[in-house]
Amino acid sequence: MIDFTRSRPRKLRALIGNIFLFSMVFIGLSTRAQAYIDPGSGSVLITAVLGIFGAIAYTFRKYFYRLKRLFSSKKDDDPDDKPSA
Amino acid sequence: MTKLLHDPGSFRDPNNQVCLFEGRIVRGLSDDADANWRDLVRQDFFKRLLEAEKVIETRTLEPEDAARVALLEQGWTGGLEHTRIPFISYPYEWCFSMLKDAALLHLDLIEQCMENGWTMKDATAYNIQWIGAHPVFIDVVSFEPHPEGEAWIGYRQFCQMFLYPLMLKAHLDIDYLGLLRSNLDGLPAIETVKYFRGTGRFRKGVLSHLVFPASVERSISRRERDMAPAKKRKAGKHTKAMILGLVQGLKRTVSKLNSPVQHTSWSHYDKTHSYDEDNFEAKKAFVDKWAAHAKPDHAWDLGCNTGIFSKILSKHANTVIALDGDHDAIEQLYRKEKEINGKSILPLVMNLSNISPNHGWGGSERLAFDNRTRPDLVICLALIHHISLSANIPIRNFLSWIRTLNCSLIIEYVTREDEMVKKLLTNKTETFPDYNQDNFESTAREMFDIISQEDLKSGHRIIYYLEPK
Repeated sequence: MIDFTRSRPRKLRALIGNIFLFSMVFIGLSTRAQAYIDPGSGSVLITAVLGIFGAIAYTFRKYFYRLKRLFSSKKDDDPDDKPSA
Repeated sequence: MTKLLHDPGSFRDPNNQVCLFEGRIVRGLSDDADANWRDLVRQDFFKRLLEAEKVIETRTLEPEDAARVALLEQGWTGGLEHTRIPFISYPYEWCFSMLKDAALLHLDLIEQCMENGWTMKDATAYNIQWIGAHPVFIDVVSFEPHPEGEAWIGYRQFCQMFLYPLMLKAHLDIDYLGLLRSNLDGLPAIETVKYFRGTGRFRKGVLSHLVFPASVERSISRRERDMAPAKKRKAGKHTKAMILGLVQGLKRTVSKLNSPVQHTSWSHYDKTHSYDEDNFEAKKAFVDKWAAHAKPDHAWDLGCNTGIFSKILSKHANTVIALDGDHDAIEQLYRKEKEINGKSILPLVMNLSNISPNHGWGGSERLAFDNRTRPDLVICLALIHHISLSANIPIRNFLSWIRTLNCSLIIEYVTREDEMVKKLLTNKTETFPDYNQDNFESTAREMFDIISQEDLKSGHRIIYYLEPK
Protein backbone atom coordinates (compact mmCIF):
# COMPACT_ATOMS: atom_id res chain seq x y z
CA MET A 1 0.00 0.00 0.00
CA ILE A 2 1.53 3.21 -1.07
CA ASP A 3 0.78 6.32 0.85
CA PHE A 4 2.63 9.44 -0.20
CA THR A 5 1.87 13.10 0.21
CA ARG A 6 -0.26 14.52 -2.56
CA SER A 7 -0.06 18.19 -3.43
CA ARG A 8 -3.29 20.12 -3.11
CA PRO A 9 -3.57 22.31 -6.26
CA ARG A 10 -5.48 25.21 -4.67
CA LYS A 11 -3.10 25.58 -1.72
CA LEU A 12 -0.11 25.30 -4.02
CA ARG A 13 -1.39 28.05 -6.31
CA ALA A 14 -2.06 30.35 -3.37
CA LEU A 15 1.37 29.63 -1.97
CA ILE A 16 3.09 30.34 -5.27
CA GLY A 17 1.10 33.58 -5.49
CA ASN A 18 2.29 34.65 -2.03
CA ILE A 19 5.85 33.77 -2.84
CA PHE A 20 5.70 35.90 -5.98
CA LEU A 21 4.25 38.88 -4.06
CA PHE A 22 6.94 38.79 -1.45
CA SER A 23 9.72 37.69 -3.81
CA MET A 24 11.17 41.20 -3.96
CA VAL A 25 11.60 41.19 -0.19
CA PHE A 26 12.76 37.64 0.13
CA ILE A 27 15.12 37.46 -2.81
CA GLY A 28 18.11 38.07 -0.61
CA LEU A 29 16.97 35.47 1.92
CA SER A 30 15.85 32.73 -0.43
CA THR A 31 19.31 31.40 -1.25
CA ARG A 32 20.05 30.83 2.43
CA ALA A 33 16.65 29.24 3.02
CA GLN A 34 17.36 26.85 0.13
CA ALA A 35 20.16 25.38 2.19
CA TYR A 36 17.57 23.94 4.56
CA ILE A 37 15.82 21.89 1.95
CA ASP A 38 16.93 18.30 2.25
CA PRO A 39 18.13 17.41 -1.26
CA GLY A 40 16.82 13.90 -0.88
CA SER A 41 13.28 15.07 0.03
CA GLY A 42 11.67 13.92 -3.13
CA SER A 43 13.46 10.57 -3.33
CA VAL A 44 10.81 8.56 -1.59
CA LEU A 45 8.09 9.84 -3.88
CA ILE A 46 10.23 9.36 -6.96
CA THR A 47 11.33 5.81 -6.16
CA ALA A 48 7.75 4.96 -5.20
CA VAL A 49 6.33 6.06 -8.53
CA LEU A 50 9.14 4.54 -10.59
CA GLY A 51 8.97 1.47 -8.38
CA ILE A 52 5.30 0.88 -9.21
CA PHE A 53 6.08 0.78 -12.92
CA GLY A 54 9.19 -1.24 -12.21
CA ALA A 55 7.24 -3.76 -10.15
CA ILE A 56 4.76 -4.23 -12.96
CA ALA A 57 7.57 -4.86 -15.44
CA TYR A 58 9.43 -7.08 -12.97
CA THR A 59 6.41 -9.23 -12.19
CA PHE A 60 5.48 -9.43 -15.85
CA ARG A 61 8.98 -10.53 -16.88
CA LYS A 62 9.15 -13.08 -14.09
CA TYR A 63 5.94 -14.80 -15.15
CA PHE A 64 6.61 -14.36 -18.84
CA TYR A 65 9.92 -16.21 -18.56
CA ARG A 66 8.34 -18.94 -16.45
CA LEU A 67 5.67 -19.35 -19.08
CA LYS A 68 8.28 -19.38 -21.82
CA ARG A 69 10.21 -22.14 -20.06
CA LEU A 70 7.07 -24.23 -19.84
CA PHE A 71 6.85 -24.23 -23.60
CA SER A 72 10.55 -24.29 -24.42
CA SER A 73 12.47 -27.45 -25.16
CA LYS A 74 15.41 -26.53 -22.88
CA LYS A 75 15.48 -28.52 -19.65
CA ASP A 76 18.44 -27.03 -17.81
CA ASP A 77 17.24 -23.51 -16.99
CA ASP A 78 17.78 -22.44 -13.39
CA PRO A 79 14.31 -21.43 -12.12
CA ASP A 80 15.85 -18.44 -10.33
CA ASP A 81 17.32 -16.99 -13.53
CA LYS A 82 16.63 -13.29 -13.77
CA PRO A 83 15.89 -11.81 -17.19
CA SER A 84 19.16 -10.37 -18.45
CA ALA A 85 19.60 -6.59 -18.80
CA MET B 1 55.72 2.58 17.17
CA THR B 2 54.38 2.59 13.58
CA LYS B 3 51.92 5.35 12.95
CA LEU B 4 48.42 4.78 11.72
CA LEU B 5 47.85 7.29 8.92
CA HIS B 6 44.28 8.37 8.27
CA ASP B 7 43.12 8.48 4.67
CA PRO B 8 42.06 12.13 4.27
CA GLY B 9 39.29 11.07 1.92
CA SER B 10 37.65 8.82 4.50
CA PHE B 11 35.96 10.92 7.17
CA ARG B 12 32.22 11.13 6.61
CA ASP B 13 31.12 7.89 8.21
CA PRO B 14 31.51 7.83 12.00
CA ASN B 15 31.31 4.04 11.92
CA ASN B 16 34.49 3.36 9.98
CA GLN B 17 37.65 4.95 8.68
CA VAL B 18 40.26 3.88 6.16
CA CYS B 19 43.88 4.10 7.31
CA LEU B 20 47.34 3.28 6.06
CA PHE B 21 49.50 1.09 8.30
CA GLU B 22 52.97 0.06 7.11
CA GLY B 23 51.84 0.27 3.50
CA ARG B 24 48.71 -1.80 4.19
CA ILE B 25 45.19 -0.53 3.64
CA VAL B 26 43.23 -1.14 6.84
CA ARG B 27 39.83 -0.02 8.05
CA GLY B 28 38.73 0.65 11.62
CA LEU B 29 35.20 -0.50 12.48
CA SER B 30 32.87 0.71 15.21
CA ASP B 31 30.67 -1.71 17.22
CA ASP B 32 27.85 -1.48 14.68
CA ALA B 33 30.08 -1.77 11.65
CA ASP B 34 31.93 -4.71 13.18
CA ALA B 35 28.70 -6.59 13.95
CA ASN B 36 27.49 -5.83 10.44
CA TRP B 37 30.68 -7.15 8.89
CA ARG B 38 30.55 -10.40 10.83
CA ASP B 39 27.01 -10.88 9.58
CA LEU B 40 27.95 -9.97 5.99
CA VAL B 41 30.83 -12.44 5.62
CA ARG B 42 28.49 -15.29 6.46
CA GLN B 43 26.17 -14.41 3.59
CA ASP B 44 26.40 -16.64 0.51
CA PHE B 45 25.73 -13.83 -1.93
CA PHE B 46 28.66 -11.87 -0.48
CA LYS B 47 30.96 -14.87 -0.74
CA ARG B 48 29.97 -15.15 -4.39
CA LEU B 49 30.73 -11.48 -4.96
CA LEU B 50 34.18 -11.90 -3.41
CA GLU B 51 34.87 -14.97 -5.53
CA ALA B 52 33.82 -13.17 -8.69
CA GLU B 53 36.19 -10.36 -7.67
CA LYS B 54 33.38 -7.84 -7.86
CA VAL B 55 34.18 -6.75 -4.32
CA ILE B 56 37.75 -6.05 -3.23
CA GLU B 57 39.47 -8.87 -1.39
CA THR B 58 38.99 -8.18 2.30
CA ARG B 59 40.03 -10.01 5.43
CA THR B 60 39.23 -9.52 9.08
CA LEU B 61 42.34 -8.57 11.04
CA GLU B 62 43.52 -11.20 13.48
CA PRO B 63 43.62 -10.17 17.15
CA GLU B 64 47.42 -10.34 17.32
CA ASP B 65 47.90 -8.28 14.14
CA ALA B 66 49.79 -5.05 14.86
CA ALA B 67 47.42 -3.12 12.63
CA ARG B 68 44.43 -4.26 14.66
CA VAL B 69 46.18 -3.33 17.89
CA ALA B 70 46.83 0.14 16.51
CA LEU B 71 43.19 0.52 15.43
CA LEU B 72 41.88 -0.60 18.81
CA GLU B 73 44.11 1.96 20.48
CA GLN B 74 42.33 4.60 18.43
CA GLY B 75 39.00 3.48 19.82
CA TRP B 76 37.78 1.19 17.04
CA THR B 77 36.19 -2.15 17.88
CA GLY B 78 37.51 -4.18 14.98
CA GLY B 79 39.55 -3.95 11.81
CA LEU B 80 39.70 -5.11 8.22
CA GLU B 81 42.44 -5.24 5.66
CA HIS B 82 41.86 -4.67 1.95
CA THR B 83 44.04 -5.69 -0.96
CA ARG B 84 45.68 -2.54 -2.21
CA ILE B 85 44.39 -1.06 -5.45
CA PRO B 86 47.44 -0.49 -7.70
CA PHE B 87 46.40 3.04 -8.64
CA ILE B 88 43.51 5.14 -7.35
CA SER B 89 41.47 6.88 -10.04
CA TYR B 90 38.34 9.01 -10.00
CA PRO B 91 35.17 9.11 -12.14
CA TYR B 92 36.27 12.38 -13.77
CA GLU B 93 39.17 10.49 -15.30
CA TRP B 94 37.18 7.56 -16.67
CA CYS B 95 36.04 7.24 -20.27
CA PHE B 96 32.40 6.56 -21.09
CA SER B 97 32.63 2.78 -21.12
CA MET B 98 34.48 2.74 -17.84
CA LEU B 99 31.78 4.82 -16.16
CA LYS B 100 29.13 2.61 -17.76
CA ASP B 101 30.78 -0.60 -16.57
CA ALA B 102 31.13 0.88 -13.10
CA ALA B 103 27.41 1.74 -13.16
CA LEU B 104 26.49 -1.78 -14.26
CA LEU B 105 28.66 -3.22 -11.50
CA HIS B 106 26.90 -1.08 -8.94
CA LEU B 107 23.47 -2.10 -10.22
CA ASP B 108 24.54 -5.73 -10.17
CA LEU B 109 25.63 -5.38 -6.54
CA ILE B 110 22.44 -3.66 -5.42
CA GLU B 111 20.38 -6.29 -7.22
CA GLN B 112 22.18 -9.15 -5.50
CA CYS B 113 21.88 -7.39 -2.16
CA MET B 114 18.17 -6.73 -2.47
CA GLU B 115 17.46 -10.28 -3.50
CA ASN B 116 19.04 -11.42 -0.26
CA GLY B 117 17.61 -8.89 2.14
CA TRP B 118 20.59 -6.52 2.12
CA THR B 119 21.11 -3.04 0.77
CA MET B 120 23.85 -0.50 0.15
CA LYS B 121 24.00 2.73 2.16
CA ASP B 122 25.02 4.87 -0.78
CA ALA B 123 25.73 4.82 -4.50
CA THR B 124 28.82 6.90 -4.99
CA ALA B 125 31.08 6.23 -7.97
CA TYR B 126 34.09 6.80 -5.73
CA ASN B 127 33.41 3.39 -4.18
CA ILE B 128 34.52 1.72 -7.38
CA GLN B 129 38.15 1.33 -8.37
CA TRP B 130 39.99 -0.51 -11.12
CA ILE B 131 42.45 -3.32 -11.50
CA GLY B 132 43.40 -2.87 -15.12
CA ALA B 133 40.15 -2.96 -17.07
CA HIS B 134 38.30 -4.72 -14.25
CA PRO B 135 36.04 -2.65 -11.97
CA VAL B 136 35.91 -3.60 -8.30
CA PHE B 137 33.81 -2.32 -5.40
CA ILE B 138 35.86 -1.22 -2.44
CA ASP B 139 33.52 0.06 0.27
CA VAL B 140 32.44 -3.10 2.06
CA VAL B 141 30.91 -1.17 4.96
CA SER B 142 28.33 0.18 2.56
CA PHE B 143 26.50 -3.15 2.79
CA GLU B 144 23.91 -3.39 5.53
CA PRO B 145 20.73 -5.35 6.20
CA HIS B 146 17.75 -3.93 4.36
CA PRO B 147 14.90 -2.80 6.63
CA GLU B 148 11.60 -4.24 5.49
CA GLY B 149 9.72 -1.90 3.21
CA GLU B 150 12.45 0.72 2.94
CA ALA B 151 13.10 2.35 -0.43
CA TRP B 152 16.37 2.08 -2.37
CA ILE B 153 17.97 5.11 -0.74
CA GLY B 154 20.93 5.14 -3.14
CA TYR B 155 18.78 5.81 -6.22
CA ARG B 156 19.25 9.56 -6.28
CA GLN B 157 23.00 9.36 -5.82
CA PHE B 158 23.24 6.63 -8.46
CA CYS B 159 21.52 8.91 -10.95
CA GLN B 160 23.74 11.88 -10.09
CA MET B 161 27.01 9.98 -10.13
CA PHE B 162 26.47 7.53 -12.96
CA LEU B 163 23.28 7.88 -14.98
CA TYR B 164 23.19 11.61 -15.76
CA PRO B 165 26.82 11.86 -16.95
CA LEU B 166 26.31 8.78 -19.12
CA MET B 167 23.10 10.18 -20.59
CA LEU B 168 24.73 13.52 -21.34
CA LYS B 169 27.41 11.77 -23.36
CA ALA B 170 25.24 9.11 -24.99
CA HIS B 171 22.29 11.31 -25.94
CA LEU B 172 23.83 14.74 -26.40
CA ASP B 173 27.54 14.00 -26.87
CA ILE B 174 28.36 16.37 -24.02
CA ASP B 175 31.65 15.74 -22.28
CA TYR B 176 30.85 15.06 -18.63
CA LEU B 177 34.43 14.83 -17.34
CA GLY B 178 34.83 18.52 -16.45
CA LEU B 179 31.37 18.54 -14.89
CA LEU B 180 32.18 15.56 -12.69
CA ARG B 181 35.47 17.08 -11.62
CA SER B 182 33.64 20.17 -10.43
CA ASN B 183 30.72 18.33 -8.87
CA LEU B 184 32.13 15.72 -6.53
CA ASP B 185 28.63 14.62 -5.51
CA GLY B 186 27.61 14.10 -9.11
CA LEU B 187 25.32 16.10 -11.38
CA PRO B 188 22.02 17.20 -9.78
CA ALA B 189 18.79 16.45 -11.62
CA ILE B 190 17.68 20.08 -11.54
CA GLU B 191 20.83 21.15 -13.38
CA THR B 192 21.13 18.24 -15.79
CA VAL B 193 17.54 18.50 -16.98
CA LYS B 194 18.37 21.92 -18.46
CA TYR B 195 20.50 20.23 -21.10
CA PHE B 196 17.60 18.15 -22.34
CA ARG B 197 15.23 20.38 -24.29
CA GLY B 198 12.43 19.57 -26.68
CA THR B 199 12.72 16.08 -28.15
CA GLY B 200 15.87 15.43 -26.10
CA ARG B 201 13.54 14.74 -23.21
CA PHE B 202 12.21 11.65 -24.96
CA ARG B 203 15.55 9.93 -25.26
CA LYS B 204 15.90 6.63 -23.48
CA GLY B 205 15.54 6.93 -19.70
CA VAL B 206 15.35 10.71 -19.64
CA LEU B 207 11.67 11.15 -18.81
CA SER B 208 11.53 8.70 -15.89
CA HIS B 209 14.94 9.20 -14.34
CA LEU B 210 15.69 12.84 -15.06
CA VAL B 211 12.69 14.96 -16.05
CA PHE B 212 10.34 13.42 -13.48
CA PRO B 213 12.76 13.57 -10.50
CA ALA B 214 13.82 17.10 -11.48
CA SER B 215 10.23 18.32 -11.52
CA VAL B 216 9.48 16.70 -8.15
CA GLU B 217 12.60 18.29 -6.63
CA ARG B 218 11.73 21.67 -8.10
CA SER B 219 8.18 21.62 -6.82
CA ILE B 220 9.28 20.62 -3.33
CA SER B 221 11.88 23.34 -3.38
CA ARG B 222 9.28 25.90 -4.44
CA ARG B 223 6.89 24.84 -1.72
CA GLU B 224 9.37 24.62 1.12
CA ARG B 225 11.79 27.36 0.20
CA ASP B 226 10.49 30.07 2.50
CA MET B 227 8.60 27.98 5.01
CA ALA B 228 9.87 26.40 8.15
CA PRO B 229 9.69 23.66 9.32
CA ALA B 230 10.18 21.26 6.41
CA LYS B 231 7.30 18.94 5.77
CA LYS B 232 8.02 15.50 7.23
CA ARG B 233 7.55 13.09 4.41
CA LYS B 234 5.65 9.88 5.04
CA ALA B 235 7.79 7.05 3.76
CA GLY B 236 5.71 4.71 1.69
CA LYS B 237 6.32 1.00 1.88
CA HIS B 238 8.48 -0.26 -0.97
CA THR B 239 8.16 -3.91 -1.90
CA LYS B 240 11.02 -6.03 -3.20
CA ALA B 241 9.35 -6.16 -6.62
CA MET B 242 9.31 -2.35 -6.78
CA ILE B 243 12.97 -2.02 -5.97
CA LEU B 244 14.15 -4.86 -8.15
CA GLY B 245 11.93 -3.63 -10.95
CA LEU B 246 13.52 -0.20 -10.72
CA VAL B 247 17.04 -1.61 -10.54
CA GLN B 248 16.54 -3.98 -13.47
CA GLY B 249 14.92 -1.23 -15.50
CA LEU B 250 17.95 0.95 -14.83
CA LYS B 251 20.21 -1.92 -15.85
CA ARG B 252 18.46 -2.15 -19.20
CA THR B 253 18.57 1.61 -19.67
CA VAL B 254 22.27 1.89 -18.85
CA SER B 255 23.18 -1.11 -21.03
CA LYS B 256 21.60 0.56 -24.02
CA LEU B 257 23.50 3.83 -23.57
CA ASN B 258 26.33 4.04 -26.08
CA SER B 259 28.88 6.62 -26.98
CA PRO B 260 29.96 6.41 -30.59
CA VAL B 261 33.71 6.77 -30.98
CA GLN B 262 34.30 9.88 -33.06
CA HIS B 263 36.96 10.09 -35.66
CA THR B 264 39.43 12.55 -34.20
CA SER B 265 43.06 12.95 -35.22
CA TRP B 266 43.89 10.49 -32.50
CA SER B 267 41.31 7.75 -32.72
CA HIS B 268 42.88 6.28 -35.83
CA TYR B 269 46.46 7.07 -34.96
CA ASP B 270 47.43 3.45 -35.40
CA LYS B 271 46.85 3.80 -39.10
CA THR B 272 47.67 7.43 -39.66
CA HIS B 273 50.90 8.07 -37.74
CA SER B 274 53.76 9.38 -39.77
CA TYR B 275 56.24 6.55 -39.15
CA ASP B 276 57.39 4.03 -41.69
CA GLU B 277 57.54 0.39 -40.68
CA ASP B 278 61.29 0.12 -39.96
CA ASN B 279 61.50 3.22 -37.83
CA PHE B 280 58.42 2.21 -35.91
CA GLU B 281 59.93 -1.17 -35.13
CA ALA B 282 63.13 0.56 -34.00
CA LYS B 283 61.13 2.79 -31.67
CA LYS B 284 59.30 -0.20 -30.21
CA ALA B 285 62.58 -2.05 -29.74
CA PHE B 286 64.14 0.89 -27.91
CA VAL B 287 61.19 1.16 -25.53
CA ASP B 288 61.17 -2.58 -24.97
CA LYS B 289 64.91 -2.72 -24.25
CA TRP B 290 65.01 0.14 -21.76
CA ALA B 291 61.74 -0.76 -20.05
CA ALA B 292 63.26 -4.20 -19.47
CA HIS B 293 66.36 -2.50 -18.06
CA ALA B 294 64.36 -0.23 -15.74
CA LYS B 295 62.21 -3.12 -14.48
CA PRO B 296 59.45 -0.82 -13.22
CA ASP B 297 56.72 -1.99 -10.88
CA HIS B 298 54.65 0.97 -11.92
CA ALA B 299 54.89 2.80 -15.26
CA TRP B 300 53.12 5.73 -16.89
CA ASP B 301 52.56 6.22 -20.61
CA LEU B 302 51.86 9.92 -21.12
CA GLY B 303 50.05 10.56 -24.39
CA CYS B 304 49.44 6.85 -24.84
CA ASN B 305 46.99 7.25 -27.71
CA THR B 306 46.16 3.73 -28.97
CA GLY B 307 48.18 2.12 -26.19
CA ILE B 308 50.65 0.33 -28.39
CA PHE B 309 53.57 1.34 -26.17
CA SER B 310 51.56 0.78 -22.99
CA LYS B 311 51.34 -2.81 -24.14
CA ILE B 312 55.12 -3.01 -24.43
CA LEU B 313 55.45 -1.53 -20.93
CA SER B 314 52.98 -4.05 -19.53
CA LYS B 315 55.40 -6.84 -20.40
CA HIS B 316 57.82 -5.38 -17.88
CA ALA B 317 55.66 -3.54 -15.34
CA ASN B 318 52.93 -4.76 -13.00
CA THR B 319 50.83 -1.64 -13.45
CA VAL B 320 50.73 0.70 -16.43
CA ILE B 321 48.76 3.94 -16.34
CA ALA B 322 47.94 4.92 -19.91
CA LEU B 323 47.03 8.61 -20.11
CA ASP B 324 45.70 10.64 -22.98
CA GLY B 325 43.79 13.88 -23.32
CA ASP B 326 41.64 12.45 -26.08
CA HIS B 327 38.56 10.71 -24.67
CA ASP B 328 37.94 8.51 -27.70
CA ALA B 329 41.52 7.23 -27.82
CA ILE B 330 41.14 6.11 -24.19
CA GLU B 331 37.71 4.71 -24.94
CA GLN B 332 39.14 2.52 -27.69
CA LEU B 333 42.07 1.43 -25.55
CA TYR B 334 39.74 0.52 -22.68
CA ARG B 335 37.47 -1.50 -24.97
CA LYS B 336 40.46 -3.44 -26.27
CA GLU B 337 41.76 -4.10 -22.77
CA LYS B 338 38.34 -5.18 -21.57
CA GLU B 339 38.05 -7.68 -24.42
CA ILE B 340 41.25 -9.41 -23.39
CA ASN B 341 40.42 -9.08 -19.70
CA GLY B 342 43.53 -6.98 -19.15
CA LYS B 343 44.60 -6.54 -15.54
CA SER B 344 47.67 -4.35 -15.88
CA ILE B 345 46.84 -1.35 -18.09
CA LEU B 346 44.58 1.32 -16.61
CA PRO B 347 43.55 3.87 -19.28
CA LEU B 348 42.60 7.34 -18.02
CA VAL B 349 41.56 10.59 -19.69
CA MET B 350 43.78 13.44 -18.57
CA ASN B 351 44.86 16.75 -20.00
CA LEU B 352 48.56 16.91 -19.15
CA SER B 353 48.57 20.68 -18.97
CA ASN B 354 45.78 20.49 -16.38
CA ILE B 355 46.09 17.23 -14.47
CA SER B 356 43.61 16.27 -11.76
CA PRO B 357 44.32 18.49 -8.75
CA ASN B 358 44.14 17.98 -4.99
CA HIS B 359 40.61 18.96 -4.11
CA GLY B 360 37.44 18.17 -2.22
CA TRP B 361 37.23 18.87 1.49
CA GLY B 362 40.44 20.36 2.86
CA GLY B 363 41.98 20.11 -0.58
CA SER B 364 42.97 16.55 0.24
CA GLU B 365 39.84 14.47 -0.13
CA ARG B 366 40.65 13.58 -3.74
CA LEU B 367 44.30 13.44 -4.65
CA ALA B 368 46.15 15.09 -7.50
CA PHE B 369 47.24 12.73 -10.24
CA ASP B 370 50.91 13.04 -9.31
CA ASN B 371 50.15 12.71 -5.61
CA ARG B 372 49.04 9.08 -5.69
CA THR B 373 51.31 6.14 -6.45
CA ARG B 374 54.62 7.36 -7.86
CA PRO B 375 55.85 5.71 -11.07
CA ASP B 376 59.21 4.01 -11.58
CA LEU B 377 59.27 4.76 -15.29
CA VAL B 378 57.51 7.37 -17.42
CA ILE B 379 57.41 7.35 -21.21
CA CYS B 380 56.63 10.46 -23.28
CA LEU B 381 56.62 9.45 -26.90
CA ALA B 382 55.65 11.90 -29.64
CA LEU B 383 54.47 14.22 -26.90
CA ILE B 384 56.98 17.01 -26.23
CA HIS B 385 56.05 18.98 -29.35
CA HIS B 386 52.43 19.11 -28.24
CA ILE B 387 53.38 20.16 -24.72
CA SER B 388 55.72 22.89 -25.93
CA LEU B 389 54.19 24.11 -29.14
CA SER B 390 50.45 23.58 -28.52
CA ALA B 391 50.17 23.92 -24.78
CA ASN B 392 52.97 26.51 -24.63
CA ILE B 393 54.72 24.86 -21.73
CA PRO B 394 58.48 25.45 -21.92
CA ILE B 395 60.65 22.33 -22.14
CA ARG B 396 62.35 23.19 -18.84
CA ASN B 397 59.01 23.33 -16.98
CA PHE B 398 57.87 20.03 -18.38
CA LEU B 399 61.12 18.21 -17.62
CA SER B 400 61.14 19.72 -14.09
CA TRP B 401 57.72 18.28 -13.44
CA ILE B 402 58.83 14.84 -14.60
CA ARG B 403 61.92 15.19 -12.40
CA THR B 404 59.68 15.65 -9.33
CA LEU B 405 58.44 12.12 -9.91
CA ASN B 406 61.99 10.89 -9.33
CA CYS B 407 61.86 8.11 -11.89
CA SER B 408 63.44 7.03 -15.17
CA LEU B 409 62.20 8.55 -18.39
CA ILE B 410 61.98 7.48 -22.02
CA ILE B 411 61.30 10.59 -24.07
CA GLU B 412 61.12 11.25 -27.79
CA TYR B 413 62.26 14.65 -29.01
CA VAL B 414 60.61 15.77 -32.25
CA THR B 415 62.75 18.18 -34.29
CA ARG B 416 61.55 21.16 -36.28
CA GLU B 417 62.23 19.24 -39.50
CA ASP B 418 59.57 16.71 -38.66
CA GLU B 419 56.40 17.18 -40.69
CA MET B 420 54.16 16.97 -37.59
CA VAL B 421 56.04 19.89 -35.98
CA LYS B 422 55.83 21.83 -39.21
CA LYS B 423 52.10 21.23 -39.18
CA LEU B 424 51.86 22.54 -35.61
CA LEU B 425 53.90 25.64 -36.39
CA THR B 426 52.11 26.50 -39.65
CA ASN B 427 49.90 29.23 -38.31
CA LYS B 428 51.77 30.21 -35.20
CA THR B 429 53.46 33.57 -34.76
CA GLU B 430 55.52 32.57 -31.70
CA THR B 431 59.06 31.44 -32.41
CA PHE B 432 59.55 29.07 -29.43
CA PRO B 433 63.26 29.87 -29.04
CA ASP B 434 63.75 27.09 -26.47
CA TYR B 435 62.49 24.41 -28.84
CA ASN B 436 65.63 22.92 -30.37
CA GLN B 437 67.61 19.74 -29.82
CA ASP B 438 70.64 21.34 -28.17
CA ASN B 439 68.55 23.17 -25.65
CA PHE B 440 66.48 20.07 -25.01
CA GLU B 441 69.59 17.99 -24.29
CA SER B 442 71.30 20.58 -22.13
CA THR B 443 68.16 21.16 -20.08
CA ALA B 444 67.67 17.42 -19.68
CA ARG B 445 71.29 16.99 -18.56
CA GLU B 446 70.74 19.40 -15.68
CA MET B 447 68.22 17.03 -14.15
CA PHE B 448 68.91 13.65 -15.73
CA ASP B 449 71.72 11.50 -17.04
CA ILE B 450 71.30 10.60 -20.70
CA ILE B 451 71.99 6.86 -20.61
CA SER B 452 71.13 6.12 -24.21
CA GLN B 453 69.79 7.80 -27.32
CA GLU B 454 68.87 6.78 -30.84
CA ASP B 455 67.89 8.57 -34.02
CA LEU B 456 64.53 7.74 -35.51
CA LYS B 457 62.84 8.82 -38.71
CA SER B 458 66.12 9.73 -40.38
CA GLY B 459 67.07 12.09 -37.59
CA HIS B 460 63.77 13.91 -37.43
CA ARG B 461 63.14 12.33 -34.05
CA ILE B 462 65.49 11.26 -31.30
CA ILE B 463 64.51 8.91 -28.53
CA TYR B 464 66.30 9.07 -25.16
CA TYR B 465 66.49 6.95 -22.05
CA LEU B 466 67.15 9.14 -19.02
CA GLU B 467 67.74 8.44 -15.35
CA PRO B 468 67.27 11.04 -12.62
CA LYS B 469 70.41 12.72 -11.32
